[in-house]
Amino acid sequence: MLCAQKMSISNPTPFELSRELTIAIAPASIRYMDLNTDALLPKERYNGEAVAAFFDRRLEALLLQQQLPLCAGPDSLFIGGQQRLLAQGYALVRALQDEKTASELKSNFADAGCRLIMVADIRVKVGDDAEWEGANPLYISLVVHPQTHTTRIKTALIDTASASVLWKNELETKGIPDVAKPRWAEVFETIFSNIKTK
Amino acid sequence: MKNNLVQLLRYSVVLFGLALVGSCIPAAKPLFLDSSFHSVKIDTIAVLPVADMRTDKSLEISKVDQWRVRPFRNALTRARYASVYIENRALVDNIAEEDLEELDPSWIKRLNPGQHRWVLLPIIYGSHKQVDIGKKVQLEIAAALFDVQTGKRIWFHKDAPKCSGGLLMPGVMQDCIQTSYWALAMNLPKQ
Repeated sequence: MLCAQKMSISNPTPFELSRELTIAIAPASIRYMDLNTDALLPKERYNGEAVAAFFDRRLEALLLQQQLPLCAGPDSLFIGGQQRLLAQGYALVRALQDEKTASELKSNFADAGCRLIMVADIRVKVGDDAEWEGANPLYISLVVHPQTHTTRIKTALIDTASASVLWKNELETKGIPDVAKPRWAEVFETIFSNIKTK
Repeated sequence: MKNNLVQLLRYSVVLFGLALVGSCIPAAKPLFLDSSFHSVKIDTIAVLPVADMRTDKSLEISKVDQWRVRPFRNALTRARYASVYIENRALVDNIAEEDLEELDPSWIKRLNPGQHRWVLLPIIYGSHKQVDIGKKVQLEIAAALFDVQTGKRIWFHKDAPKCSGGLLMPGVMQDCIQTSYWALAMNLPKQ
């Protein structure tokens, strides 16, 4: 890499979160798309599950570090109705307008003492110069031209009692996520950097 | 004034060049074309303001709504469509990528600017700076045509041009965005 990769954040304003509110982490959704057409790339050509799991682990560690109580982590078992809602991931943000979803969130989470849900969506747009990593059929960034690929992460914190979004952030940076590189741990943490606990 | 003339001249040269090339090369296949497209009569297309969905908004494009008019009008006229230009930004201000991916007929119907049935939405997904390989900007630009009466998307196309000098030269972003909108509108099948 020739220089440090810049990250753009949509919401740098500090946000205060009470340590009394418990949080559930919805598994992050991830998709790899062709930058030119937005077509979804075949799942066998990227290691999306590992990246999403890495993101979820970083988030869980960050919340624990801030002493925010978790209802359960992304790997923990929730009961049926909870699982179904969490599986919607970032799509829950849009679904909040639906009265049925709002009422299900309240009965399955808020009434069960789980007040907040953190959702995330990761989109990797792969540009023209993606290469195959030898025999391993995964997309990688070229070392000298990582900038034709873009990774955009959207996160939101949903209040299950009021079915509203308490906090939102969006981050964009160059390159294709690679969990073996420390930079991506930093990227995944940066998006939550404006959350302060009280 | 001089700047405006230079802009106009540059845009005209680009447009003339594109028109020459465009007359020889068939337009790329649209990324999405509904099967009903050729069975309906599209009279006037209402072009909405640009939905700016960029995370990184450091590149200034505050005049993008003005920039859209000339390329869309020229290309749509060539394709035998009449067009009107809607200025009400409230129609597009809260549009997110998810809205365009999981299309909901009731959401499409809310794009209705008034008496028009056919509504074209210009979109900018990103203007990604590529500073370590010669001051380039990678744009992600798209347009979608909706039938707000039935709540259907009937056409969609995207362009991802790389614009050289975008960080240094005023007017480059305008040229690049206008050229891209022109190319997108030219992709719309003729009446």
